[in-house]
Amino acid sequence: MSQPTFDEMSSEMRFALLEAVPHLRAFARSLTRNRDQADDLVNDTIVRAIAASNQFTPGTNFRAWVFTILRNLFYNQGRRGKARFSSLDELSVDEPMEDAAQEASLEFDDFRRAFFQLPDHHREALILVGASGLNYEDAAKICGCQVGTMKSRVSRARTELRRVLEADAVESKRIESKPVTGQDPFEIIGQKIPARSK
Amino acid sequence: MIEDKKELGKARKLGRAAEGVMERSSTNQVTRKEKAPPAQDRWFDTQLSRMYADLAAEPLPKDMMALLEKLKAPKS
Repeated sequence: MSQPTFDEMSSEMRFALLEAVPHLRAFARSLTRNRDQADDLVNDTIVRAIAASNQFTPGTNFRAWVFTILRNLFYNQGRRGKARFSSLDELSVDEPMEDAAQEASLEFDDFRRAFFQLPDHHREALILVGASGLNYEDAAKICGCQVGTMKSRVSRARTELRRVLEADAVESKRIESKPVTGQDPFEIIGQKIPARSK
Repeated sequence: MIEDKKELGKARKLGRAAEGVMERSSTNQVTRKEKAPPAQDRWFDTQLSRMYADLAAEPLPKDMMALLEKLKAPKS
């Protein structure tokens, strides 16, 4: 049987696929931690979804179906030894933010960095259940595991996220409190310590 | 004598079981203490949603745009 082409796809399927693209990009980015690789993965997923569109069961969750394709592609590419992470650009977020001075934005940066330090299966569990709006059942199907396993992955991911954020906070405090040099600042500039006036 | 040994064995088993209960109860206590407050989980969810929305809203690359244009195009 030949694979369906663009023209053979139903309008509903086309619309559903177009609607799923932003979600696919967010999921791909959370898996690859790299913008270019995420977009390549989404492109491959769209092509694969078109080719396999006759395998989709109407009435089931379309987004979960395309997420499964994307996830399988990601892990298959990994198993083939393809270099997935040429650069982990998510670990060094350098995009200027409009309100970077605000505390909320700094907190968000910390959160984002901590999130991208988590292992693959923890990141995908949090994204699928916590952000993409899927329920535990669909998330478990996508990841090929039991619902209970998905629940414990989400729970462990949250615990790990908390631990990373706390460790980062402790590290930041340690760096802040560390003196720049052991020398007296007045000695460095060659001045005597001024006497305090009473 | 044999009965004494049996009694001793029972006592040891009971003792170990009792220790186990204590270990379990202390572990449970630790678990309860370490349980995250709901406010923190809500904060995580807010940050996750924000990050997801940011990633989903990033501008599309050209090659993907071309692919999506094909999808948008009416059936020939």
